[in-house]
Amino acid sequence: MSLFAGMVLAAGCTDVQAPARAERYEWRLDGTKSFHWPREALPVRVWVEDTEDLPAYAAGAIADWKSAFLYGELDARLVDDSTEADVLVRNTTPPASPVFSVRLFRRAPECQGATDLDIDGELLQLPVRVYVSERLAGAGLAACYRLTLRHELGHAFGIWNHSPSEADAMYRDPALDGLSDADRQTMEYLYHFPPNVAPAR
Amino acid sequence: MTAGAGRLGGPAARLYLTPMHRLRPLPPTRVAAAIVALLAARPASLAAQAHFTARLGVTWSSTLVEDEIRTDEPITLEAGIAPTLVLGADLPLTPKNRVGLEVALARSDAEVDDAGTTSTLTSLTTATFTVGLDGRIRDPLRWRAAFGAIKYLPGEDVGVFREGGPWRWVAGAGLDWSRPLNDRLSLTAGLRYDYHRFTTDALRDQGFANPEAVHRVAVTVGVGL
Repeated sequence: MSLFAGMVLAAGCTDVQAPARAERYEWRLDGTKSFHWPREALPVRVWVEDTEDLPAYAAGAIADWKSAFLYGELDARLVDDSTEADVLVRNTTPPASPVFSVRLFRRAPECQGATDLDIDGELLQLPVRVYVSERLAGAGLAACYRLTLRHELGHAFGIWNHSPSEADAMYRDPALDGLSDADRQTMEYLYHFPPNVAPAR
Repeated sequence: MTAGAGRLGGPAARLYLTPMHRLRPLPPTRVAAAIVALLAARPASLAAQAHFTARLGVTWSSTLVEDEIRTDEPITLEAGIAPTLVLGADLPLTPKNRVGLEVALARSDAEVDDAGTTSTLTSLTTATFTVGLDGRIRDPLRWRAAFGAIKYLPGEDVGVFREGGPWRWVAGAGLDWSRPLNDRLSLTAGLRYDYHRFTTDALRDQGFANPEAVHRVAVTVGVGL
């Protein structure tokens, strides 16, 4: 009984503290356009071309980005039907003259990646198109694909900018194989920031 | 966990292995193990005095997580009202007191309220295992004090539960009411309060320093045997 009484007394001393989430960078396009996938659009359907183990890298990248959230703000799944996908990932060089308004580009020695966003005013025309392609075959190609796909899906999920820090996955030429605290906190925060761009088909 | 007054008669006295004033406090795990062993063995004299209950009801739980990602936009995670099944077994310890085990299963949704918008994170089952001591207040009312553990079982490893559901210590108290239906069965009702501190590995990873104090109240009705 004394143990029970002690626990009841301890209950009165509990003080809840939400963590500070200060490590974030600018995610908005041009410092103004903010986008996140609305709850009613979840899960985001991602189709990935089945070459070079890209589906496995994409699944890992989705799991990494989902781990930034505590309340299910983002969900994404790989799908087999490209015609119903919200995000298309192809293993090819980005087209020279596509229909897009914004291209977020990443180039490493072994591979390159790009995310094309077709933004029309306050609407993001779906699907978002992601391209990853080989530049230099070799031992580092698999790691490059993994890093690049994580980076490009970061754009597809809402970080429409590059981090200024080399320590982040969303740096324009990232070396980090994973997500930094700043990557996680930026993604988490933007899903609680009122968007001014919405997805449309 | 109720017992009719008639169950605590003379034969029960032969079961007192140690007078109460000589008893030393035992860890809950050892007490639980001893009770399980006794119930499993079920010698005839014990079986005759063992009391079993099965009850159904609902459990209300206070907020599991309070957060604020943007200033002045609170986020809460709550378990909601959960349909509950409680199974109990107890044995006489003294003429006035009984000791027993209780298992409570409660199932609901883990609901997120994000600045006024509500969504379901996942389904959530809690399994609560307690070792309790109860005693008579005045027929047909009995009190119960208990200590044990609660296990959270999310339907999906997602969000705060992305690394699974936690085990947490729990302490509780309650009231039982019973009324005989016939020679063997009784109608019972239970009111339970319990307290634990909620956190998960995902919350700790995200920098939550202190677990959330969680209070739960359950009301159940069922039968005793």
